[in-house]
Amino acid sequence: MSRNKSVPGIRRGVVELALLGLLADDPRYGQQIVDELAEHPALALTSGTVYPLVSRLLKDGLIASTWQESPAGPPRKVYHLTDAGIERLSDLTAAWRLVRDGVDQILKEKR
Amino acid sequence: MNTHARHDSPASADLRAVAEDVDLLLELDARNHDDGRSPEPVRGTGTVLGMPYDLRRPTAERLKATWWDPASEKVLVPRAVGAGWAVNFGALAVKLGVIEPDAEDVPFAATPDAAFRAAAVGPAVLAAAVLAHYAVRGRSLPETLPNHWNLVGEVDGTVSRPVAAVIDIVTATTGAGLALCGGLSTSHGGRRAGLLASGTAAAAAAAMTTVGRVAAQGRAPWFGPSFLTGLGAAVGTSLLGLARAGRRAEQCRDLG
Repeated sequence: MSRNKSVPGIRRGVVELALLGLLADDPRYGQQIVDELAEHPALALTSGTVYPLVSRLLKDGLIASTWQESPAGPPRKVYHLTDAGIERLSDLTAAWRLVRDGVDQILKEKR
Repeated sequence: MNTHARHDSPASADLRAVAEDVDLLLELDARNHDDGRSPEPVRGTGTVLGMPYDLRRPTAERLKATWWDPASEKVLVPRAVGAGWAVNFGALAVKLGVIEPDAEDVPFAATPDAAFRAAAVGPAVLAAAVLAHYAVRGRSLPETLPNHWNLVGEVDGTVSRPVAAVIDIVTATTGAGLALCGGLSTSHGGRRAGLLASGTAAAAAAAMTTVGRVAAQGRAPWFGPSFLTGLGAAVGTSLLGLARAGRRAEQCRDLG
């Protein structure tokens, strides 16, 4: 899937949506976010992309962080959605679904 | 396919709706550039033959952002002032495993005042050492001292002993002064860290140069790498200490 040359541009535009969507289920720590996004090849990101995005979302007040004790080692910083983040996720999800359905419809009509 | 239906289909209205939603996602695209920089070139910056340059007046905040960005994977980044590259000590610290990329929500925002004041001690000690060196040994030093070394470590510029003393003492005390400003300032953490890092760099450079004027009077290929390593170690250690103090403060806040 990632051999499609158009994927990188589209991927960047929806990374925020994917990250907010991940946090909607459960809070996660940074490396966990990187690892879970890496499970989707089209979204595969390095920590060098995820952490700056996390910083920006923190600054924008869409997510918040808390240090928590870890059973497996030193404390870890865990991220969760704020009320503003929940609202943003809802808006982005609606926009994404409209875009997806609209493009699918256009492609179907082209055949 | 029903061609008639295609002409009469609400595809135009659909496309407008899609375009509005694409705008939303494109806005995210523009904001999610990998390096967090604005897509528009900033006045006074650019590249020449692949080398980046920044001609803007340096600020403590920009120096801090260049030298400490653990969220980025890039160890070499464009310099905050001048041409060439600088070391992102934050990325280096992450690669060495001594700090996490997200150790602090905002670098140095939670770092306590005591940590900033403690970080100002190092440059003060270096400045005192430079002063003591010229006060105690000044008269026994040669009349001319090395002032510049070429790429292979040969001395290719000298100055008189008094001029060397003035250069080193002024540089060292200026560095200590900047660091003191950072230590005692009440402004936000990023600016304070920038002042401390700049002051540490100046004081360390003066101290290393003072050593070099005495120890590297002949051909000394070791001096250049030692100078850069010492400078980097001083600045990196100062910033790492501040960042770890900030992380500890956040952990105390959340874990009690």
